[in-house]
Amino acid sequence: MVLDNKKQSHIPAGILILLGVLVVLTPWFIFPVCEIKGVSDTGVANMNMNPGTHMKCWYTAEAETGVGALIILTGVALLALPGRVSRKTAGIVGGILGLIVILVPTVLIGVCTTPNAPCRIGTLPALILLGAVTVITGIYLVLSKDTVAAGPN
Amino acid sequence: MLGLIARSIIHRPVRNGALILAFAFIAASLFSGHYLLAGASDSVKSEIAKLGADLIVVPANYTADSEAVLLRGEPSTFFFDDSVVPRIRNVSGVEQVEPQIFIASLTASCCSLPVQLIAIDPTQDFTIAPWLEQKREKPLGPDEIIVGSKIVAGGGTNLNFFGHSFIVAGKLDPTGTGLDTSIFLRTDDAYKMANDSKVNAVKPLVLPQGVASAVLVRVNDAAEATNVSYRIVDQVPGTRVLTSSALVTTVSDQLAGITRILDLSALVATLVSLPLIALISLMVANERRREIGVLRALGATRSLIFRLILGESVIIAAIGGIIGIGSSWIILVLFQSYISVVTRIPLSIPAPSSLISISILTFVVTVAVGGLAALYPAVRSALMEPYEAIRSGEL
Amino acid sequence: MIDARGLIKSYHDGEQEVRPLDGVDFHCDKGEFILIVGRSGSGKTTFLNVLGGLTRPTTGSVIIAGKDILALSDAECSALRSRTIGFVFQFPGLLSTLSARENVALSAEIAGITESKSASTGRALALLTRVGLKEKAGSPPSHLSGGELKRTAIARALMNSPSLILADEPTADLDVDTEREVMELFREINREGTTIIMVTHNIDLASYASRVVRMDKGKLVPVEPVP
Repeated sequence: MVLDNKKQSHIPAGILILLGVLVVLTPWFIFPVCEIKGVSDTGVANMNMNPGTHMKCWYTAEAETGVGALIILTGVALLALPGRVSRKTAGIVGGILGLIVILVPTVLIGVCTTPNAPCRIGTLPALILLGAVTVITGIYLVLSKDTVAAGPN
Repeated sequence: MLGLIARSIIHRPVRNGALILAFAFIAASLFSGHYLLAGASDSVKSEIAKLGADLIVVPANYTADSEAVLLRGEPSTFFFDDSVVPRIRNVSGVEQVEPQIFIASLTASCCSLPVQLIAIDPTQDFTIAPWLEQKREKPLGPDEIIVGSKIVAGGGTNLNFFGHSFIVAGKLDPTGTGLDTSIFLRTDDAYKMANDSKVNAVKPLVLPQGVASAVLVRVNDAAEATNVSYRIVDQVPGTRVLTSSALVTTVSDQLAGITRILDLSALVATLVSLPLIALISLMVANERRREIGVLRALGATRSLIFRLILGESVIIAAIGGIIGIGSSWIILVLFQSYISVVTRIPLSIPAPSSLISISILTFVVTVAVGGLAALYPAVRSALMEPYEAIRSGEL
Repeated sequence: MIDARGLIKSYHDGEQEVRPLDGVDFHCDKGEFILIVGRSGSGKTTFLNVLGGLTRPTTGSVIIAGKDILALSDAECSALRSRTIGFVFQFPGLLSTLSARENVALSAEIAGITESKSASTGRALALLTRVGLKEKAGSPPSHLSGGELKRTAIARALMNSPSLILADEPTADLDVDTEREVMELFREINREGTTIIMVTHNIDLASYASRVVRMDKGKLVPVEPVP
């Protein structure tokens, strides 16, 4: 039954979209990175860096915005094409994107090294959590079997 | 029979999913509250002990700052005249004293956030000396620093403070206290750094001669610590003495509020869920009256029916409990520093034995709630006369 | 096989007293195929359920295979039901969470018959094949037609090789052809030695039975034995 296929894809698609939105919002609003906090909280940004460049956590935020947008797109695509093949594809893509969400603030770009920096104690764990949930959603999509409804009723 | 229960649970995913979430919430609230409590008190109790001191003497005007430094590692700079040091040493009951100077850095060579520098006199030090002996077997050399466990820099790295370059000579083990975000340097180097800062640093460091920020005190007899603290305040005006119990009280008060809220929410969740779950179990038992009648006709005993209905609720509660405890655990560990900073309470991961006992307790309570809720429906279903059950199902 | 004496069942529905059974004496030998006919409300279903131990009479005695079922404990009564008696209800009464095969095998599981799971499943499948439902063995009840559900219920009743089958209007709601199939099945089972007591309002089925009795207002009225 087509109905089952749709329902099976709609919920994970919605979850992906939600996760993508959270990934985008986290480093700017939910657990803002240092520069956001520093500027608004203390009013002092002691930068011993060249003007025009940013701290690592800023670049992480920008990167995660991109990744988050891609996750949203994946979710939307799944909503539009809820077939079995597209489910598995969305699962793989989502899983990889989730992995990237985790890798950006840890390995790829990183965040501030000061202990107790807002990006380290808040943004970092939040992104790791969101990334992990995205990966799990991806794995679920890849492994999910069709609920085959056959026969008369 | 387990198979029957499992099938029955999967058969109604939405309803059972909601029930599982309810139990997860109860478990999560209970677990979190006690996890935080255990983590905080473990942390504070070891705080002063880790520093190797029984008492800490701080300037009376700077009590809040000292607590900030010691408990939360919030960097601060304050001093009082170090002429107090020999006077404290002379108070009866005092065995050893160590003055330390607290300096908040400007930057930590990477980001805009300061760290706490603690200047010590290696000849008088008993805070990190034991650790140094164990790991390095020689005292701090010129421009060498020891960093706390949360400082992201390894041995041999260069760190700059106030324009002065230092070499990391070692990293302390985690203490769960403000020490984790502190950096120890020699007092001589601190003065050199202050001197050089007029030229090299963004903002110069003013470090007058003859000052101390805190005096760590070891007493002869630990039982006498409180009495000694009174004597010090008496004989050395302008000071305040922080004891382990005083700090613990401060933290406990702060924590009590949070734990109370979490326990309350667990209680409310339970009180609300219990009748709700009981109602749902009753509804389902009614729905399945005919099914139960058929099972009895097939030869199921009353005991089997009872176990079937109770078992379903208990298993749902168990699943919810595991989910609640597991997800709380993950979130609490991931966001530990964040919670610690926001609540202004030092936190560490509780000892494994505490963790296990809290988890087991929470699990048992959650499952008990599940069993309790289904008790009445289970008994009622078991005692139903099969014919009545079958008939009432027909409409 | 069955000896029932002085069965009376009465209860109060508000102010009124209701007596579905008003002094019933009944005897049946092993291997008989007995049809109980009567109007709805005559008490025949209540009678069947008393015989099966599913409900207690207000007074009277019921002895099945030498056992006084009213004197048995709940555990003993349940054991009797699971091993000696097979029920077929008017409604299929299958568990919606299990497949047809699992429903049939459930009988054995409840009876606590110690055999491996695969042995139970094998026997269940054999019974389903016998009632012509081999291909539908893995289907859940929601995928079976009315007749198929009935046949599954019969297979379930046979799972523990009972010596007595109690069937309550098993062919109600079935079309004529399916009804015939089901009755043939019952006849076959009876020929193998199983005692069958069947309640029905369809007197035309009398040809299948060895004896017909009529229930009227809670009392048994004999009817001509079938040649």
